[in-house]
Amino acid sequence: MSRPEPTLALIPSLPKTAQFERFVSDQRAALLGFLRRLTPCEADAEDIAQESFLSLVRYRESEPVEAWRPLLFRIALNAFNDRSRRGATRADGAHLSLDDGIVDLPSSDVPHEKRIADQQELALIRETILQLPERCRQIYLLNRIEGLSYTQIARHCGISVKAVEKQITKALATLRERVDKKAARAAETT
Amino acid sequence: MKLEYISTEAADLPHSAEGWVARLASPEAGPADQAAFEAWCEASPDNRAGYVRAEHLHARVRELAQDALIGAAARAALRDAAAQRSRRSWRWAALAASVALAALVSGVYWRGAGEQRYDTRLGERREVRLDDGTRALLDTDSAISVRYSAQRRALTVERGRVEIDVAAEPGRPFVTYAANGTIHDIGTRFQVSRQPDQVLVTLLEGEVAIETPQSAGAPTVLKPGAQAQIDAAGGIAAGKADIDAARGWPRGELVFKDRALADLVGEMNRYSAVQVRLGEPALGRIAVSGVFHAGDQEALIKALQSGWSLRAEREAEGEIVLRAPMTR
Repeated sequence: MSRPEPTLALIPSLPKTAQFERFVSDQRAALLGFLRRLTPCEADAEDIAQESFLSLVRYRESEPVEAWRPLLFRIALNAFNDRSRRGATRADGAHLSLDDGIVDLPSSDVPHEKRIADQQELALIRETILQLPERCRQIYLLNRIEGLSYTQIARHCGISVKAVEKQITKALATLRERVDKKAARAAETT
Repeated sequence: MKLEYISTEAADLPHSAEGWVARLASPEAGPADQAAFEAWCEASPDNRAGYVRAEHLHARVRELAQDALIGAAARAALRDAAAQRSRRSWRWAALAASVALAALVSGVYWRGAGEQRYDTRLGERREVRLDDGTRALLDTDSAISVRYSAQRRALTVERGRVEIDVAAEPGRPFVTYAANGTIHDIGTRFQVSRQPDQVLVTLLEGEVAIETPQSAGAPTVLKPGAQAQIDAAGGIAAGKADIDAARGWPRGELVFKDRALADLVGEMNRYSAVQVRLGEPALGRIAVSGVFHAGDQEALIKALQSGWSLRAEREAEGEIVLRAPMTR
């Protein structure tokens, strides 16, 4: 079996910082184009893109490279939604709200209630994952905890890359449904 | 190369926020998927909010990496998934063959993941299966990093001990680095133990050639059952390996034949937060033989108490001190 010409074979040996620079230059135009279609304001689009890449720097080491793109778009969409909610005002809190939830702030910077809510959410996530159907749980954990790529999981489990994607979709759908339902129920009773 | 567009037929697009999170991280996602995702986001604020929420939960899962139950379930998945594969491989053989080609094509494109790193905690043993089918078994408190390119496969033993079962792949050599030692192999199974002042290479099957910057183009070639000792100055000394010990640790068994007690205690301490210390240096020279379960300090203490009449005292939190028997 002959291997295709390794056009980008240099990438694997690049350190993460260099990979990140490359990622930023590859994705900047795409992200800007996307934001321009959401907001008519060019300055807003550029601000959001800039802030999103800055926020993403935090996850450069902890997240695998293939997770950067979905994460970047979440951060950008979050920032866009925040701005829409606040209207035209560019409040100084913009930086904090950009990507709350998994920001590693020193605990004193985060309000007590939010910390509790974060811990409750994480406990719900944990419980739900442990209750997932076996195959689905295995594949999801191999990806999120063991850090295996779709390709590696496919080989490891003897299934297709597409089947890996389907199982991860299923795990996430269950996760969102149960966590949000339980959180809503908890909010009702308090 | 047009094959990366294979998965982007319209019928195949995700129809939920979760589906998009999973798709964007796939090596099979191409520019058409990205465009479809952006259109989906533009279509409604609900879509955007759903994506933000799903991606947020997806990312938070990584905070559970240190959770004991989640960690255990993940490691079980590493073992079980491989076992299930062998049971049902006949069903998947045809499918896997077609997928292999797709993976190969997308692999070149998206193998931006680059260096993969694997490690084990104190007392943990873990087997990882690399992209090419090579198997690496990491002993307690060990770490390796792996970089594969189309031309070569490179593995670095950063710390600890690892057994490597290399998948033969003509034309793409497998090279292992440990401190100053470089190990070239030819479809083989060997162990590398990186210690503070030396590197030990034990060959179980096949053949390896070892070199250091000082070996000046004259590599040391090992045969099965042999062990090479690489010192800090780059010297390589070959000798006979303790094959029983080499076969034991991958199963969690430390096999000692007529070895110094100091070695045994040192070895056992590598697996446990509970450290055993010798109260008197002379005890270290006692010759011991036996099979000990890695990490089971209690059993070790019991054996030493009954077999060698040593006295064990718990002196501090997590520390047991051994002393010579009382003289009457």
